[in-house]
Amino acid sequence: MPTGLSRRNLLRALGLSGSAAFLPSLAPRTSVAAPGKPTRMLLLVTGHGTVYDSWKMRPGGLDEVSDWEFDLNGLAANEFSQILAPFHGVRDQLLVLDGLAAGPVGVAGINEHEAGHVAALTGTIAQGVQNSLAVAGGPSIDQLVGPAIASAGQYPSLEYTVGGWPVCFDSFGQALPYEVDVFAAYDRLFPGGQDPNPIPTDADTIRAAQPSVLDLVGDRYDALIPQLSGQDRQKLEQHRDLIRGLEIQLEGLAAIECDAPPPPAGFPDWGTAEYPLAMTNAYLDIIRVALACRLSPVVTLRVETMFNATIGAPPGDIHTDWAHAVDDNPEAAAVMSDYHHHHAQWIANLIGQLASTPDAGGSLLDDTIVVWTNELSTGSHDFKQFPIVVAGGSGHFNLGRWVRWAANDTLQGAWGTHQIGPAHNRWLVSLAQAFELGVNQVGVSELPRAGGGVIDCTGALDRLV
Amino acid sequence: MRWLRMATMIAASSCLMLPACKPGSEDDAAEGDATGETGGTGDGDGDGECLAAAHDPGPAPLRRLTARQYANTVRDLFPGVDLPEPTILLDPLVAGFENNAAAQTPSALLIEQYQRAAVEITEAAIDQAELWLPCASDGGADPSACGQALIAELGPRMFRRPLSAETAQIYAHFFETQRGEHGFSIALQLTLQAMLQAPEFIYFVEQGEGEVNPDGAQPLDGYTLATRLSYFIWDTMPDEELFAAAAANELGSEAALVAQVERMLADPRARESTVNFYRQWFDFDSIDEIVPDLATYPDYTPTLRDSMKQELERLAEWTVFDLDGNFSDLMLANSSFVDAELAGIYGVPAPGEWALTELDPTQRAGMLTSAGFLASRAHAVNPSPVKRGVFVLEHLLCQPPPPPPPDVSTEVPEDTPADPKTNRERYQAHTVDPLCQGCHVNIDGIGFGFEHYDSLGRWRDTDNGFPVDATGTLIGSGESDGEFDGAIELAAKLASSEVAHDCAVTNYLRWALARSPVIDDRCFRDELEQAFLASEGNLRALVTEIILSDAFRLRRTEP
Repeated sequence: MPTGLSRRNLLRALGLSGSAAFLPSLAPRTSVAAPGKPTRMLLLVTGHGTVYDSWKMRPGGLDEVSDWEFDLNGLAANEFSQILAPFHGVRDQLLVLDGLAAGPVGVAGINEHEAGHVAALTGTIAQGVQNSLAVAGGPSIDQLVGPAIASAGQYPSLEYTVGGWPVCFDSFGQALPYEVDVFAAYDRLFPGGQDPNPIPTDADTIRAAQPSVLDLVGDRYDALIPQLSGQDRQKLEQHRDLIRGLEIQLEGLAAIECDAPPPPAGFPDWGTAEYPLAMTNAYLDIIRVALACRLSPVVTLRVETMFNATIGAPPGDIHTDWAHAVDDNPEAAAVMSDYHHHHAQWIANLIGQLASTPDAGGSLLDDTIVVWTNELSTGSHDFKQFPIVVAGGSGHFNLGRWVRWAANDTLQGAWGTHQIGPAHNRWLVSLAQAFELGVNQVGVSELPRAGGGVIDCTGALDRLV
Repeated sequence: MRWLRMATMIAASSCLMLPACKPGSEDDAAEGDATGETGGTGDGDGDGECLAAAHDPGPAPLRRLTARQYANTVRDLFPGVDLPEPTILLDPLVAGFENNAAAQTPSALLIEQYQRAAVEITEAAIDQAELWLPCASDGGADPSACGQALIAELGPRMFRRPLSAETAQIYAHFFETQRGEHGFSIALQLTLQAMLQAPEFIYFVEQGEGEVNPDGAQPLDGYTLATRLSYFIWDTMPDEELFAAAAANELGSEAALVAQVERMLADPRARESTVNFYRQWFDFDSIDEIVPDLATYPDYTPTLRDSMKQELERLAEWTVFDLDGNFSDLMLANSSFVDAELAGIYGVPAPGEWALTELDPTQRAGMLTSAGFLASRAHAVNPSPVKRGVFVLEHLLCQPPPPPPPDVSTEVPEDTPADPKTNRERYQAHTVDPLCQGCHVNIDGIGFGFEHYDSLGRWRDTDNGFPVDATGTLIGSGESDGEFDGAIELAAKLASSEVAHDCAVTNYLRWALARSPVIDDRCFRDELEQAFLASEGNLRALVTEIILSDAFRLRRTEP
């Protein structure tokens, strides 16, 4: 089979012709979509919810019982909440969603951490699995958006982690694995590193021939599949489809030019105070280039690993001793407020970097929707007041605002009733529609209402665009 | 349609509302994959269903090489070649095991890792072609014949059975096409890359042969049985002798099979593989994540983690192979492997290098009093009786407790200078809610038995200035149930518990069959449990018994 690849393009795709440094000129040199329409999405998922009282803002004493919104631009730095204070400098790029409920968690009837990891991006009700982690009832938003907007050659999505359970799920509801090794993550996108040597080698020839190899491999799966049945067959069919997808992707990647960033280096030891942020930043260095070069339109980064020294917390297990106690113990609430503030800091820095990276007549942030979301709402396993901070995508969302929904509905949960605002499924619908996916539902379409009837979970949220 | 069977979450979570904490019943198990998780309640032979000569082998879902099996196998395909360590994802753990077929969902990342690994492996191999290529590295006088000879020689070892003429021809044709375009060396690498990603290499494609019994089960063909044997005992591909036995159809004979098992168990690969199994059963990996509070434990160094892990690896290997030990030895051995770092933890003189060392029998007995186990089930300052208790329930009694219910605080109260308390008292205070008691009576009843050990696993007589109370009550172990004082007495109870022995069988089966137990397993499992007890829990004998069982040697003709 002809590969159809020119060596020059291939070398570019693999980073072999890149310059010796990661230059600020990240403007893509491939075709771009019309300005204004978001074309990329970055999902940042941290853990233990938030400390709502340290997160929320109520300028002018806004009430808790009605829907309202306010302009973030008018707030001084000291009017920002403790946790969200780092965002003051990028407040014009923010859209804060206050008062949604991760409703599927409330009805799952299993441990909320498991239910929350499933529901956060899928909007589905987790299904428990004996002796293993729960599975989802459908795909996560990244798996809806990525394959829909990726062009041939792009990775439809990338999934990275600095600790934590999976939050991305495929169309079967199975958890998608993360890239857990930052060095492997780098080599995957930039296999030639920053090597400026353009002399073709056998390795280049072999890389260029990979679509041919995969074509044969796919044929071998085709030949074997008819001999199997049931789930065995389904497994090989899925494997075969992924082989075919990789074949197309490797061909298309050759059309993408990219200056490779420096490889990750110089990490502090695991367990040290500096480790979590250093590792997070190492992934962010890769992610920024991956988005800028359009190696992938959708990236998810899960960040959970944290040590007491990182946030100056007293001895005690962050999960068991501090996060669980946020409601009853002021010291725990203070520790966890610092914890979430720490995350806000690196996310705000990232937003600032994206905003100052030129891209297609604007900034990289303009057509990248960044979402900071969570597995739960609080360390005490609550799912109401689900904290979501959005940035970017200025051509679609009306930014610089805080939007609040009051808790006007009552959910019949697995173990009790809960006063809730709109289901966060509707936020996932808004997100899907931002990328022009013709969907009106992500995850469940309805949840049980206390006293009978159902709570509608379909349709985009009001007041976002 | 899901590959992970939807399990008994309803059964598990409903426990929360019950006064007792039973994670499942036989009826629940029939709905999912939980049989065996309860410690083997089914007697299996009371109703006549199990009297037939042959038993239902249960399902045999399509398995894939684990990350470690992949690495081991390519090592054996190219012996002597210095290969890079392939980056292959670990599949999701099921009951702690990495090889559960139901969890082996292919993903885009995994498929790409196979592709990259194939390129890296062949790139390294071609640099040392003299070690495995039947001709000169440029193809010699007849490069076409050399390529075909290689496919004929390496192909059956890669696919673990002879290649059909058609399959061999397909790869030969690909090789010739690529040779015309790129030359011998690159064509050879590309061909091997395709074979390293072929379904017959990545997956265990099993075949039966011979008479189908009345239950619809058929003996495995020789190559399939050889492959199962090899990956169970060695965690890698069959060697030449095992392939020869498969080709000669010898493995159908029980005597020949036992001879192979004995031969394979004597091979160093069996030791490595067994340690890998114990790593998963006893969760050695969690030792990597120990982060003690340095103010409380100033002597701690990160290298201590490595020592703790190595101790358990050495202890498992020694117990199974050198001691030819029983399950009870895992619980009772009062000698363990100690280096200079661990000597401080155990209060023994520091040896010059790793040494099997007798430990204080009033303080130490087997795996559960090892520093690695104790430290990996602890918080930064204080040990966790909950984590320790849950481990015993999950991994040694096969009774995983459900997670805590919602809307209850799982916070362990802080210690206050005005009203100092022991760790035990603090934990007791956090489970006073009757909703919690259903499960915590089981969890803490075991976990409090470990209160003599701090977060590094060091012995302590006092906690926060008070004498340690390490009394507990074991529930769920059958005849061993009852009160005890300290981990030594607890270990003795577990060592003699039939439920714990049954759970060991369950865990060995999880690994051997690469799946969760199901209700259909009850007949062969019952036989294995009886045989294990009859052997006084001999761990090597259990391997042989599993291999001789119908579950290992037969296969359903319908999935």
